[in-house]
Amino acid sequence: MTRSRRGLYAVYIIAAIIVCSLAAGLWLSVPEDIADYVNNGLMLPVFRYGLLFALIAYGVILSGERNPVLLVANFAVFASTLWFGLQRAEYIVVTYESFVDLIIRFPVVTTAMGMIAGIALLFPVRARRWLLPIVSACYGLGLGLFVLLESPLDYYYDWFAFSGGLSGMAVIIASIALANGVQQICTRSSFAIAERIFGSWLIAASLLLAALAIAPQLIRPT
Amino acid sequence: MIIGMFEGPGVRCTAKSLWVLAIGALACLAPETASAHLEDGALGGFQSGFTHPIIGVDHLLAMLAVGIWGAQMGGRNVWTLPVTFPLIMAAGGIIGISGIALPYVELSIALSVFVLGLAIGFAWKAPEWIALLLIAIFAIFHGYAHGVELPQAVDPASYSMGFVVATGAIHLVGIGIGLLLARPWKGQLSRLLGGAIALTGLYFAAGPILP
Repeated sequence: MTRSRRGLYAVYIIAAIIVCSLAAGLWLSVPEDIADYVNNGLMLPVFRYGLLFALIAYGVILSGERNPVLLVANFAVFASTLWFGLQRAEYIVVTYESFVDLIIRFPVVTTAMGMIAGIALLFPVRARRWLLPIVSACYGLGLGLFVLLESPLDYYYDWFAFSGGLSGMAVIIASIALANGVQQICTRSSFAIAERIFGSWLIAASLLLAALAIAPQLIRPT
Repeated sequence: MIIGMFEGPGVRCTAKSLWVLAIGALACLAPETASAHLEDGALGGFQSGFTHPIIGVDHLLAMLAVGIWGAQMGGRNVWTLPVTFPLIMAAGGIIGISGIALPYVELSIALSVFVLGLAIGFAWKAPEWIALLLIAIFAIFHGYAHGVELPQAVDPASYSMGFVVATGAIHLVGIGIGLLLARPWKGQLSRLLGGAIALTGLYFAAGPILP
């Protein structure tokens, strides 16, 4: 096992331990009457296909980074922009709502995330290294915005936001580990084909979502 | 074991990795095919979108053919063809959503099956731009057929996600089939398969004309 591979495994294990500890801490401290809100937050990426695919794509992109230090740095960019997004997303939403109709706001966030990840996946792995910090920042902010827009009530927002952000991170870490596992079995070229096809799925789906969301007036009356 | 059907700048795939790709893509499709014929009445969400390209034999064959043809041509075409198809298909879908009428949609889809089948049957090593142009033209009609139905879906966003994912999975299966059949009997098996696809396409195209 090479040194960088050992380093990567160490990063995955530490990240998994942190996420599991936070989840366990959350479960132990959550009051019984708001357990449902925490559950909804935890299940958020599972029941939102757009978000789920976008997060998996981000995990696949991160899995291409072989340098443990850069991997951690990019994940730190994601985590810090996620924190910023969860804290400050309200101001962004207020600005955003002045431009865009409320009804279409949900797909727009996932559409943008899917589009960014899809384009990044079409690039070769080496070129992706330069895009990763931008993708990470956009993803953190995007997930923060998504959680805020999906949150039920202001009073429970903190619980919902924390559990939503946590489960988003868990999906990303699981995707990185899974993508690395598949890369162990596949050759680099065959994995690159699958990555690019996945990227084209995301772009195509995002284009359709954008068409449905941004131009609802295009839809004929049924 | 390296299957050395593509040498030099092309693709090198181990048999194991091909099986992983093929089984993975089939696993995506398998649970859905079991309930593929339940779709009557209104279109639903993700599952409905996912099953749509699979239960439509013309769509299914065309998308498989894209993967097989790309794998048969080798090199960059292995991924450029299946990547181009959904991207242009999305553009066709947007045309369908917007309500712009395209003529001869069903005939064009049937022709796409016929032409792609012929290309595989004759092992046509088309210049990349011609192959991409052909794929793009056909993809517009396939996307249009999906796009027209999209606004009627209960959950259009999930429906579109489902059919794009199914399309990609079918492409992956097509690539897997193309790569697996490229070696035995000097690729004659995939050419035979191409001939069968072309005949099916001809049957679909002749359907509206024949009494």
